[in-house]
Amino acid sequence: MKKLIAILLPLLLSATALAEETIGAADGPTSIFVAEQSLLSKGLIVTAGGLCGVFLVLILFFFTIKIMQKILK
Amino acid sequence: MQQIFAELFSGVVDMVSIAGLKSLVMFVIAGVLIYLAIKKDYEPTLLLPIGFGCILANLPGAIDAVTGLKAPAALGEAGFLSVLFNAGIANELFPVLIFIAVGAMIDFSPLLKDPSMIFFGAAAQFGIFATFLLSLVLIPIIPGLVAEGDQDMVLKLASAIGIIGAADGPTTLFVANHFQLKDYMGPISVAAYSYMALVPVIQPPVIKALTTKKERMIRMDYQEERCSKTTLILFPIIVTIVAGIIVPMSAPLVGSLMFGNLIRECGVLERLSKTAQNELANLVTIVLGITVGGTMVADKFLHPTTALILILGLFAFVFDTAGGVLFAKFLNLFRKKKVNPMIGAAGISAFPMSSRVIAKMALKDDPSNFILMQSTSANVSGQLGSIVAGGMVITLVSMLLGG
Repeated sequence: MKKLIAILLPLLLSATALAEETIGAADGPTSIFVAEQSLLSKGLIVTAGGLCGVFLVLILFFFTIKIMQKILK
Repeated sequence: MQQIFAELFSGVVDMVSIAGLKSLVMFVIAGVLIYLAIKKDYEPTLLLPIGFGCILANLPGAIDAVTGLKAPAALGEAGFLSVLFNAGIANELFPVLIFIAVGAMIDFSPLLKDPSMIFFGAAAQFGIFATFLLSLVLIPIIPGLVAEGDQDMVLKLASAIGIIGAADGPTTLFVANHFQLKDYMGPISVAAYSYMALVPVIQPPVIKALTTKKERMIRMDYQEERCSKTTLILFPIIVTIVAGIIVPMSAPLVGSLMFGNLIRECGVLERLSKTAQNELANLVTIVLGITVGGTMVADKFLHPTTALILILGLFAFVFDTAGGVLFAKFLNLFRKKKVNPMIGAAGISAFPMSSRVIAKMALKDDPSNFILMQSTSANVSGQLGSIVAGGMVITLVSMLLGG
């Protein structure tokens, strides 16, 4: 269980950071950092963020199923 | 008298103009879609309504009583295709209803028995992002596709093209509509649904190119354990909450998929479950197909962008398959119990077509190698992965727009 928490915690933290960033961007004008990026850099941000996001969510689903299986056993 | 005749036969006059020739080309395209649906049995439930909607959208125009503008009768302000578009696609209702129906059809128990298959549902979304990047490179260098310097439009269009790789029609429509790409919805949905139907043609050569026969003959254990009812009921609820918290943009799609699945698994709503699987699915498919076909207007469809969308859509499916297979091979470097790398290709969302194709390929190389349950697990994971990927694309691209 400790091992599981050790894996889950950083994942959840990074997800929270991503969410905060998204909310921040939605609330106000887009940051200067984003404005300065070239089209390809923006593409790489979406690609890296998107793939990591998909893996992160499905990893969470994986642990959800594992935990459910353990509890129900 | 001459004017009366000219107005009476304005349709015939229109058909002998340049616009009329374009309409004829669209009729041929519609004919091809209807032929593929009826003769080749390629996604007939969608390609046939799309083809017919395309015919309706390209008939000669009539003066609209409301706006006074000339438009095909089905597409004017009060035309039924416009009404359907505004009622079901512009507000994302139809994709959500389709997902309720799909959720009611999906059995997640193979995945719940072997959750490690879920990672293939993530790896096979590689095609979305690879195609997105490729589109970002190609769109600005092909003249006339988007206004020069309009980075936002390039990002939006690249997202909609990339998401064809989700191999999931409703998600594709959801993303295209979110970025208000009505003009591109026709080619994007035609690409998505046609390539989904062509999975048995697209996937095998890619898999064979990336694997050896020995790898394709790898056997995988499958435990015939029963999945508890509590697990089946809790799964859709927990998945909705987790996905809704991490990727809020995916909540409508994940939520509707899981709601449909909960109706199926709860055991007390059999009537609703059957309605969702049959009547709801059929009704929404009819109106969705014909409405999407209604967006295939000659002026917008006969454009270089359509060719680009169709070519890149095919790339997306190829990259998806390659991503899944290569990820499985990568995992095998660390695993004691090897995975048949073909399972990775089943991580795309085209359900249940992809899992059947993979199972068939395994049987072809070794008639006693049954991997249908494992490929089904990967395939239902692909359904989840594609929705999450759609949500991620919308979230991240929306962040970058206007920058």
